[in-house]
Amino acid sequence: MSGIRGVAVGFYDVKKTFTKGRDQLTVLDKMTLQTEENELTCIVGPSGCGKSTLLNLVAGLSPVDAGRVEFRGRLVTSVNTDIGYITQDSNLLPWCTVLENIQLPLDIRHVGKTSAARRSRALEWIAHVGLDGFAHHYPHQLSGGMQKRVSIARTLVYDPDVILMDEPFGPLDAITKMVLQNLLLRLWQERQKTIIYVTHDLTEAITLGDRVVIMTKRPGMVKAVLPVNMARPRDAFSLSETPEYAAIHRQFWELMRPEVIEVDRGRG
Amino acid sequence: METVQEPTVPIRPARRSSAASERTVLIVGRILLVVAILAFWQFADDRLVPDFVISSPVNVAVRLAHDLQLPSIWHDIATTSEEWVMGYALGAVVGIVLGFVLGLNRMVRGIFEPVLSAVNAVPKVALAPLFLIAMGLGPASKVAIAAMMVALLMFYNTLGGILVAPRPLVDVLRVIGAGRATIMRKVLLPFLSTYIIAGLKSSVPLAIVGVIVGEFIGADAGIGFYIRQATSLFDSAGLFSGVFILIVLTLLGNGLVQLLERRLLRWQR
Repeated sequence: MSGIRGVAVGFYDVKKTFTKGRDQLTVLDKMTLQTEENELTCIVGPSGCGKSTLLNLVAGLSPVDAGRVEFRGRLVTSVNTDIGYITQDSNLLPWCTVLENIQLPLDIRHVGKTSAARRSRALEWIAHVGLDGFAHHYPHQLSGGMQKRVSIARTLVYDPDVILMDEPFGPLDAITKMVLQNLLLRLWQERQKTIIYVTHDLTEAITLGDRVVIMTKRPGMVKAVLPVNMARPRDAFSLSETPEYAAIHRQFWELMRPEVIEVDRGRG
Repeated sequence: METVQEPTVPIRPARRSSAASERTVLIVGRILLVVAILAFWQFADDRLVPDFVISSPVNVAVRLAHDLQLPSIWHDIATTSEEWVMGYALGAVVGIVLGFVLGLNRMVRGIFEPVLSAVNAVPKVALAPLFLIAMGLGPASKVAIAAMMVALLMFYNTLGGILVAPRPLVDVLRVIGAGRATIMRKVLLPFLSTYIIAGLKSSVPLAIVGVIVGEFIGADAGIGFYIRQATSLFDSAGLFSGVFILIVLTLLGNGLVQLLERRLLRWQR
């Protein structure tokens, strides 16, 4: 894939500090990064390096302390409703059924002329993520993986051009994780939206990404931006068996290891 | 349905019947316990404890059957019920509104909370005479006492709920594009319904306490007045009749709130 693309999200000399009582924790410092439109960019780094904070900055849910964050060339100053945000927890409304949860963004954004149109679009997405027959279930009646499917559908249903994903498959078991990675790969293949995907799992980053951004330990900044030269469509189940994967993983891991090991030592 | 070979050992029917028999034991056990208590009460009357102290189930039943034919007791029941319902409703509305106002506005909360905490620290019953002085012996003072007790409870329940409302859910909806009204309707109100229902449940007996205390202190009608009259005459059968009526009223109130709960909290089951 080639061609001229724009910058989807730009971080320029960003600094972010959290204050808790008297303690100040600087999670991001001199963070500069640009992500391309229509690419699936994965950001990996040790826990606590500020990866999730990056997404909150793009979403406009928290302000920067220095520097600036731009979304499609425009400064982010308040809540950014041009994105879709799939968070680590599924964050479904427990009092709404699967259908109601997925239809909610359409109602809020007035997508579709009638309520019936919105409902049928929500039902389509229930099918896209493989949840036929669960439209009228409540979230607590679903497994973690199924809740994840709902949260993906709730975001994709309103068709945002840029999607932020924060370790969405983190707490799932290995098999479910790969099944959902394949679902995401398939959906991305069909639409090629811009996705910024945060994870601490290098294998996942290589499996999904067009490009992998490796971050340093806290305070986080960019250590390397590396293209993943592997053909699509990819299959999460078999990708890691290929020799190309092994080579890429070795190369990336060499860069990432010092960041992770030191965090380990620091914690011990 | 697929056909399954009949097992030689009937495991499931046996289990089912044991569950059924467990339920039977439970029900029979409960009945027996109540019968035993009533029997002991009947036996103890005038044998272990003087009649004017504890009366007896038979005496109470006879007394209740008799009094329920008098118009005066129905007037008492109506008076207490009205005071109770009005105090409950008034207190619930005031408490919930106050909870929202303070919960959603940090500055107002900072100013008002210490005073409300101080008021809440006072045993509310101790303030009851004040209301009688201010509002007289009629129903108004009883309504006010019950309302005050309910309002404080509902206020703290509502405020507590707002303060622990799930921030991430709110953020997810903000990113989707929801305004304040939608967030209120889709996140805050359903989330708070658990807290508010819990408060409404505890408020049923609490409001009755408020009304009865008021009627004890000074009234010319009501079940509290009926009980106090019986007490002054050492008429324990009358006293127990009044208590029995209060139990029935409370159970009725609980039942109504439970209906509401079943409607509002459907998503939890």
